This record gives sequence, structure tokens and C-alpha cells, in this order.
Amino acid sequence: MFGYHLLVARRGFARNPLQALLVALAIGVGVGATATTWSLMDQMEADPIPERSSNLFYLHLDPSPPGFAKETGADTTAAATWTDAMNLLRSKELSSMAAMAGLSMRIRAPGDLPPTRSSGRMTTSGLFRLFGIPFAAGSGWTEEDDASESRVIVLEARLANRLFGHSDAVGAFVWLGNHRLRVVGVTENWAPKPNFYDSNGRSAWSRTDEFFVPLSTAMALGMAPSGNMVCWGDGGLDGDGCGWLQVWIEAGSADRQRVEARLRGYVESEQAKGRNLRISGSGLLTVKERMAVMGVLPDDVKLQAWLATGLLALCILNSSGVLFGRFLSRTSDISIRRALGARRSQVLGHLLVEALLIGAVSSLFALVACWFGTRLLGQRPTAYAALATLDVSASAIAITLSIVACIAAAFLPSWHASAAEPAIGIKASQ
Amino acid sequence: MTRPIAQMLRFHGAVSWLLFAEAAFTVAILANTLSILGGHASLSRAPSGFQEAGTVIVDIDEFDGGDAALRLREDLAALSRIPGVARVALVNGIPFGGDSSTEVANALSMASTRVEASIIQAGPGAPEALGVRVTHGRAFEHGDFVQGPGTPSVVMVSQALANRLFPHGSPLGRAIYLHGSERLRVIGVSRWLTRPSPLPSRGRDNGLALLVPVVPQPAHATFVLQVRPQDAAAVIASVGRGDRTFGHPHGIDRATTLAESRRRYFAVADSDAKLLIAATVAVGLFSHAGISALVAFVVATRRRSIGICRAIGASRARVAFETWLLLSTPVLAGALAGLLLARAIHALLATQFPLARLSLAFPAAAAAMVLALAWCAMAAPMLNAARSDPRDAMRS
Repeated sequence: MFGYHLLVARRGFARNPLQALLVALAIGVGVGATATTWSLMDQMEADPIPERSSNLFYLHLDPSPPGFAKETGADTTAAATWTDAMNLLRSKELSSMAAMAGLSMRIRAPGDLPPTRSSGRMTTSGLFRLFGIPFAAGSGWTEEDDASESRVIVLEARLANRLFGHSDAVGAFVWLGNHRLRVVGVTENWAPKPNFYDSNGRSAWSRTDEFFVPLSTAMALGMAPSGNMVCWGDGGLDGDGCGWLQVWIEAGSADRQRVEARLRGYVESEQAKGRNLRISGSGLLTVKERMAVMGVLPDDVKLQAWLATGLLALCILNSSGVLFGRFLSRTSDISIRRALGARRSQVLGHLLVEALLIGAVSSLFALVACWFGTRLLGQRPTAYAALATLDVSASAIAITLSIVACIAAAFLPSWHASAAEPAIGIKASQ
Repeated sequence: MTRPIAQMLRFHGAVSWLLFAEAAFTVAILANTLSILGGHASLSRAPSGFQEAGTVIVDIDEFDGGDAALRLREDLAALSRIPGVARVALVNGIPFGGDSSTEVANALSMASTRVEASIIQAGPGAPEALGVRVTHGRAFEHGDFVQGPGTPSVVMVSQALANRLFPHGSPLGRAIYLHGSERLRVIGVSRWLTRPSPLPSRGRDNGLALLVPVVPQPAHATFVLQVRPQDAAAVIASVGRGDRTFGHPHGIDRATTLAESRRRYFAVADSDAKLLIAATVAVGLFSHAGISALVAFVVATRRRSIGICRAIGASRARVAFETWLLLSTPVLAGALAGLLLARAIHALLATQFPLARLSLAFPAAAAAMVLALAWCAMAAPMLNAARSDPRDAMRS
């Protein structure tokens, strides 16, 4: 039966191929725009650290005075204070955690090479194990280095190559600002996209950390952190008047409840001391939840997706109009078929299979539109432009969506055309 | 006249609803697309109030420590020695910097008026180096300047800020309050001043800015160099030579013209605007095709009744007019509904994105475009209907 449907549909397609191609083109362009933008959004929201994300959690406390967040509109849960980060680190009850903040400084190797501005991170020794950052040479610093504010630094291979011409820089010295630091390790080029552990969504795409220094050392040397910071009290960074540190905790699925209980216990003990510390939600955010809070998806990308979806809806509506004219102009044919015994469902089947054929052609247009769209998005001067690619999933979405959109556009015209009264239709055609 | 229209709408119920929906959705989508494009165009072309081609901006990262204020003075002297540089000064932020940290949100109060505006600290010679034109009052004088973070006693405001704070009189000599307590006297008004990070959602508020005669602290200082536009490239190259220009280690974070800063600031939005224009053209073409197909179908089904009308004496012009009126009714109704739908979609989008207000001009323009497209689509079937021979029509 489907073979007969296909034969009739093919003849129907051939009756006015230009009109059929126009519908296929309209749907193809709409689907191409939609699939491109949604695929880009999907890639931008993809898990940046899939091998570890299920066990990684972001500390989510609110240390600000009551009413401060409402009054200022600031997100006071986005970063931890020095006091809370250090208390939790020292407690040793949370087996694996790291506190960190961004840095942007001039760095140079000894010699005549000019200094270069670079982005890095002041952090604690647990970071490398927590995120599984691979080392090309040497290793990270130790907890003793944290405690003794050692003048050490870990470089990323890219920066080591830029400074020394090779990545084997362990043991060498570099100048970070005015401070001489010894290189203890060189990591492989490790740059998750987006930089999920950064302080905000905007910098998560634009910055890559090229060096890491101990948080205690950076504080002792007076290095100024870069990134989001919310302050409500006096006392500088090394107190509980400013939220500026990102704290990540490792907890297996069995461990999570224990960690949450520990956090609740910590908050209660701080409240007993008179502090305004409050737990936000469960106290922990997953990597995906943290990315959503950071806003890693820029507004322009979301707006494009909305507009592309609107364009697709419009294309479906207009294609429906064209198909209405196309199918209803065949009322006399349909009436003769009905008079000869074809059931309404069979006529509906003919017309929907014709729409399916148009959908197949439309999927080709959609793939071309996707290819063109990804090239256009890839040329945008943004840090995430490279994510706009035509991969298998985007192609599959485009093909499926084209066929579904064509069927959707054809359903109402097909329904109406198949409802034609045979006697009236035949009479009108005489 | 209304009876045939009502009959047609009843007879072609589904087609009429489709024409209505096509017109309504096309107007709504086009209006919002045009609004986004219009917001971008007005923002990216708005004057900054500064001489953009003749202003070079330099951000220097001092590598070695020492007396930062002394270094700043030495750097000012070194930059002023570069051939082609007419004037060098310090500011704490320039438009199109793309750095929100340079934009300071402050509350100003005068009687009951409180306005959020951007404050730009300008050192001696900065307004002149930036090409700020004082339209009323006077420019800063030597005695007006204070060293940051001190508080000055005078201020220069943009015309937009003056209009907002003093809508019924001259702002000159009047007092404004910064941070709720610092009292400053307005001594000059500049026609244009732009906030460091202009946004479409702010609309006219992008012009709410003021200049204070404060020498910025070294950590927040940006050098502005007044040059002839044709010398800008050579000056930037000299600055880029860093150590040789300054005589001691320097890292140049940024050395560019203000015009180039503007281009970079709007680069992503410019690129998006091209995509939106392509989408607008596609919407127009597909809507034209959709409406054409429906119109042709309706005219074809009415061929017999048109023939009867012609046979009993209706003129071609009357047939053409009636057909036009018949087909225009659902499109016109759809376009009107589209005006409301456009506002609803804009309100929905505005909850998610920082969009400019939807001016009535954009839905009106979109409705006009859709009606023009529809009437173009109707022209050929309508004329064919009017030209049809009554005998052929009656026979068919």
C-alpha cells in the first residue's frame, strides 16, 4: 500500500515541481536556522568535564547580611569568603576540595623577552587532582607549599613554550609581576570549554588559565584577584566581608549526603558564633547547575535560537498556505478517487506521503542551510564561534525536523482536501 | 459589500484563517526583528561625543614596581614626545571599552530626581584630547582638577543628563549630588557623552554621563592621545615599541583608536545584524509565496461567480476592487492582530533579554510591509479575474 501511496505522491510532486521545491526550500531554510542555533546552544551547554562532573560540586552558601542581596541585586551565593573557604579546607572532613580565584598578570622569563599578559588562577593544591589536570612535566605543589606560602608556580605547556621555547620548564624561574617564582610543574594544554570553574559566564568563554599559583602565596604577595566579587563589609579579602573565591568539592554519589550534612553542621556552628552565614539550597551545585547560574549561554545566542524558531514557525505557516492551494486545486482528482472507492484515510495518506517526499527534499536544503549557518556563526567574532559545527547530531536533527515540519505544514491542507464531497467535486470540475 | 466578504470568509474558512495567521505572525516576527535591528543601528551609530578617529587610547601595564604616580607622569611625558601627538591626558574609562568595571553606577539627586549615570574621571587636558565639545558653559580649568580619589567641586554633564535632572531650566551653576552626599556644581554641558558600555536596553539612557575633573589613580588610568587621524597608525606603532618609547619595561595592554574600539565593541552585534537582515528577507519572500498561493487558489475557486458578476454588468474595475477587498480583509485583520502579537512576543522576549523598548514604528512598518507584500501577491490573480471572459467563466 505504501508503494502505491508513494507512486501517487511522486506523480503529485511532479505536477508542479517548482511549487514543491519552494515549500521544501522554505522549510529547509527554517529548519536549517533552527537546527544550527539549537545545536550551538546544545554544544555550549555540553558537559565540559564529563569524566568527573558527576562527582564535582560547587559550594553554595550565602554569607552576606540579611537583605543585602535584595537591596543590591547582587548574587551573594556566587562566591565564598576567605573565612569560609579556609575553615572548610582546614577541617579536613571534606576529603578533596579546592578554593580559587582568577588572576591576570604580566609574566616573563628571565632574559630579554618582553613580558606577556596572561590569565591564571590562584588556588589551593587540591585543584590538580580535583579536576584531573594532566601534567607534561613535574607536578602540582603540596599542602606544605600552601601552608608555607612557597614561591612556586605551575605553567600550562602553551605558556611554557612561549616563555622558554619548550615545555620542560620545571626548576626554572619566572617573574609574575614583580615576584620571582619557581616552576614546579607544567600541565598539558587543558582548557575546558566553557571554563566552568570561572567566576562568571562572560569570562568562562574568553579566558583560559595559563598558570596556577598557590592561593596563600598570592595573598601574601598582594596579588589582586580578577573576576566577580561582592563585598558587604570592611576588612579586605582575608575576612568574611567579601565573597570572591570559587570553591569546588569532590563527593561521590554515596558521599554527597555526608558532605551536605557537614556543610549544614558548619553553617550552624558559624551561626552560633553570631555570623550571618546561611546555606543556599542543599549547599552544593552540580557542574551543570553552576554553569546555568554563571550564565554560560550568552543572551545573543539564546535570542538567535528564539528568532530562528519563530522563522521556522513562519515557514511552516507559509508552506501550509502554499500546500493548501496545491492540494485543494486537485479537488476534482481527489473526488474521482473518492467516487471510485478510495477511503478518506487513503487520500489523506497520498497527500501526506507527498508531504513526506517534499520533506525529504527539504532535508537536503536544511543540511545546506545548516552548513551555511554554521559557517556564518563560526565567523562571528566570539570565543565560542568554533563550537558552531555541522556534526552528526545536528544533521540528524535537521533531517528529522524537516520531515516533521513538512508533515505539520501539510496536515491541515491534506485534511481539508481529503474531506471533499465526491459529487460536488466532480460536478465543479465539469 | 460586506455580504460577499462574509460569504467568502464562511466558504473559505480555513483559507481565511490561514491568511489571517500568516499576516499576523509575519507582522509579529518582522516587527521584533526590525526592532532589534533598529536598536542596534541607532546604538552603533550614536555619536560618542568624542573625536573618534583622532583619539588614540593606550593602556599600559607597568611591569616593575616603584612609585606608580611618578611612572604615570613619566609615561605622560614619553607619550607626548611621540611625533604626531598633539595632547596626552588621563581618563579612567572610555566608551566602547567593553569593560563594565569602568562604568560606575551612581545615584544623583536634585530635589526628587535620582538618575543612574556613568562618571568619567578626566585629568587635565582630557576633554580637549577627547574632542569633547562644550555646548553650554565652560570647560574645566586648571584649578578645577583634584587628584583621585578626591572629590572635585565642579562637573560637566551630557545634554541628556542635564535634560533629565533639570528639565525646566539651565543646568549651569546648579548643584548635583554624587553618591548622595558629594555636592558638585555644573559648569558645562556637552551635547553628547556616552556611557562606557552602551546597551540597547538603555535607549536614551546611554547618554547619561558626566565628566569630573579628577586625575585617575594609576591603577585605573587610561591614556588618551589627541592625534591627526592620518598619524594614528604611526603613533600606535610607536607606542607598540614599548621599552624604546618609554625607556623602561612596559607591557602595552591596548593601543588603538577610539574608532577601532567602537568597531570591535559592535563587531558581534554587526555580525548578528547581517544574519537578522537575511532572516528578514527570507521571511518576506516566504510570506509572499504563502499568501500568493492562497490568493491564487481563492481567485480560481471564484472564477465562476466572477463570470456571473461580469455577465450581469459588473465592470472590470469593480470586479478587481471587490476581489481585492475580499482578499484584503483577512490579511488586514491579521496585520492588525499582528500589532498586538508583536507586543506580546516582545514582552515575552524582554523578560529574557535586555531589549530596547518596542517603538510603535516597527510594528507599523512591519504591517505596512506585509500589506504591501500581500497586495503584490494579489495583483496578478486580481487582474486575471477582472480580465476573465464571462462566457468562458460561465462555461467552466
